[in-house]
Amino acid sequence: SPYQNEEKRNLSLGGHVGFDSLPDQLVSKSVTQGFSFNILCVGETGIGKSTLMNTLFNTTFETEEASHYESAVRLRPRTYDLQESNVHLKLTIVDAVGFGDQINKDERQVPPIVEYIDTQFENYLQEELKIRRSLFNYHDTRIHVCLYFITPTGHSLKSLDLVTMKKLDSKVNIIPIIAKADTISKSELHKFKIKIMSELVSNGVQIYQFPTDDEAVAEINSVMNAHLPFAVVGSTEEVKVGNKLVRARQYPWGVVQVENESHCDFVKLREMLIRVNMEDLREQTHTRHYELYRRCKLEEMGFKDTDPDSQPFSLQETYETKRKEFLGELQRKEEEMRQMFVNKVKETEAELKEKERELHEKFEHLKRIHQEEKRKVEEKRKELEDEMNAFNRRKVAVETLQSQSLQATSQQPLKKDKDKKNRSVITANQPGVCLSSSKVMITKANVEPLNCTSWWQAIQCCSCLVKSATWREGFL
Amino acid sequence: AGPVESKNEAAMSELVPEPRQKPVVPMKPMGINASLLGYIGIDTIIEQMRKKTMKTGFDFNIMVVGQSGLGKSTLVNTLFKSQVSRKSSGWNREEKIPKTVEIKAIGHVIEEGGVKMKLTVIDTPGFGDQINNENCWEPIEKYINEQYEKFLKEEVNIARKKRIPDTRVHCCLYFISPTGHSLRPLDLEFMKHLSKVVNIIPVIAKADTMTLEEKTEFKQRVRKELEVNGIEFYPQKEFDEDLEDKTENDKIRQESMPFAVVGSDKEYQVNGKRVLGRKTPWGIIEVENLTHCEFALLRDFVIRTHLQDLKEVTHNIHYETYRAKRLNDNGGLPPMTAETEENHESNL
Repeated sequence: SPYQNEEKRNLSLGGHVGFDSLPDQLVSKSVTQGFSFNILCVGETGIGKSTLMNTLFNTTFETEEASHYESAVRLRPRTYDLQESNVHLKLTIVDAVGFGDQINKDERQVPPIVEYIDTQFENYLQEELKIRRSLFNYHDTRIHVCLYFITPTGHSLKSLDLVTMKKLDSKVNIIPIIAKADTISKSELHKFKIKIMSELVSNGVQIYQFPTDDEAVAEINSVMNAHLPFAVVGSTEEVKVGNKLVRARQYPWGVVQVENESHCDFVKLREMLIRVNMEDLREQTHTRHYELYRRCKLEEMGFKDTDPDSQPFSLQETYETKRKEFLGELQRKEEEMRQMFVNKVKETEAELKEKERELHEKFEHLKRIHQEEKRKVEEKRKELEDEMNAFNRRKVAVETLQSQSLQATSQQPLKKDKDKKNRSVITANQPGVCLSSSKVMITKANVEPLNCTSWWQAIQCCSCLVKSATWREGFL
Repeated sequence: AGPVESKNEAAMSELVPEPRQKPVVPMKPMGINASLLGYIGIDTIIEQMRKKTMKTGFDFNIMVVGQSGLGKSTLVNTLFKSQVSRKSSGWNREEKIPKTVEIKAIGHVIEEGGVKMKLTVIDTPGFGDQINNENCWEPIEKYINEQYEKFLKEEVNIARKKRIPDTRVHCCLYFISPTGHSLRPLDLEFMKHLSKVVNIIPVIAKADTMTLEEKTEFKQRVRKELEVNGIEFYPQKEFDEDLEDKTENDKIRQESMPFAVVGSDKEYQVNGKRVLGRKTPWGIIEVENLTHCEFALLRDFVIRTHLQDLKEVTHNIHYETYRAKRLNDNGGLPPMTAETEENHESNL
């Protein structure tokens, strides 16, 4: 290595530096983020799991009673947000519902439990293996402690108990509890505890040991270790004892007080589970049980660590697969979007085509109308022309007659002119008179041609503003 | 009646290797506020945690970068009130200024108030001392990335250590020469490159060569230049967690930083007290006196309030960025031989 080797020297400080605030800095960060604690309760239905949880956490979590008729064991997790002072705890209580209820208590009892525990490990592992991960935000659902409820027969452990605990001891911290301990007498209880512990030892079951390496808690922990399994009684009902209200169970022969240490071990359990070793349970879960799961899982998948001088990494293939998946996912999304886009384009195209077709139709329609109009107008024109011709012929005939009569009566020209004038005035002022339809049409129109030499042109020319009809001599 | 919960039937979070029937597991379970009727003792977890961390102890790795003669070693010694860094002042040592940038990491164990800290000071002699200083940040960047790589290797092992040794650089103090004018191109180049991989805290060295006005002006100019060049020094704006953080950090970013410091390991008698200081013909500069220089601010900032945060930003952000890049770019973790090291640098 090109760098100098580290020389770990113990140095004495010349004054107050201030890094003794580090634990506070760290703790304050954790407080902001919050904590999770996950408890798994395993025991027969009706043995008092829910009641104990309620008693431990001073609250009522559960209202429905569990049925005895479950067909298989199923795990029911429920999460609650608890707060005390400035500490936020995400508490998850997992119930193994239906445990020990079946007639045939075979292998179907334990695998669902193991599977649940493994799934939580798996989820964590998957998050840890992600390329883009956020572990500090991750809601840790791994089981930190398993409270195993032993039926208070007073004799020994059931074979189901041994089988279950044996399967779970390498996966989770087990704390065995004797439930409903008020059904056993003190002396029987003592013998029962010894019997249980020896059975556990002889069967190689590794239950959780309260840690004794830290001087601060070593003493109390080792004392408590000797009291296992804890004989507990749970109750949320309060009974008046002396002048205080305490949580207890009232019998005709007396009152069993939950928090009285000579009555049961509830206080010891609470002390150990919550007030002294909660953090250690979390740590053990992470550094021991999870690591074991991870190691087994990776080895199962075919990976091996190599010795320092050989080259390849153990998880290369995992990451290769992950990366492929990641890229595959990206590709898939891209394809999706592209497909969506293509579809949209097709849709819009179809719409546009439809619109085009409509417009085309309209155009054709209008064209037809226009042509129709044109034809009609053409007809009318023809009519008009015919009329004109007819009129001209009549005019010629009348003129011929007039000139004949003029020769005959040459003394009265004025009158004729007047008549002529009158006739024309009459014609002009009496649009109702039907002299000729064409004239009527024109006077009705009341338009004046500007540049046109003939009235036919005037009608055809639409740019002329025709205001009043003026007639040339020739027309009349 | 107690609180009613709602069940969320959720699929498994990510890819399951074998297709199995999905069991009912909580994905994001509903949290319900349970009203507490008495003391449970959940808040003791703080004490439990504190005890555990005191037992395991802490690691802290601080790097100092700057041209020689700016007082880096002295400052680090002053910060930790001990001879953590070998002083390079007084030119009676045999060592010459190195021809290239060297990286020297020296570790010490110091204890205070029951808290054990393994402190590593990483010195970078030779930085900025050559005639041609092109790319002199590269060996530094390489060192930082190598520490990330080391950590990643350990993390990726099948059988891994209970506590992975942390040699990653948590904090890099960059020493700015108190010219009073502006930042040098080398300063900008270094900080531009490295602010993306490590927490950089710029400090103005030998601040006793500037008057108060000069100091204020220089600081403003430096801040402006850093902003203009898009250099995000620690505490980075984007990592402010909440409003409280933001207001606190804004004040530090916009007013106090860069800290104008003076270092010393000699003690003098001032007003009946023994203080760390520098003796000059015109007076004694008291290092820990806030009216003389900002050393105390730097010390409080780095050690007393933000030390854990420096580590967390390094772990949760810089390290994660390195890891993600590494895993993505190369589709896995190919072996790090001598040749591929160079290739990786170009990839990074």
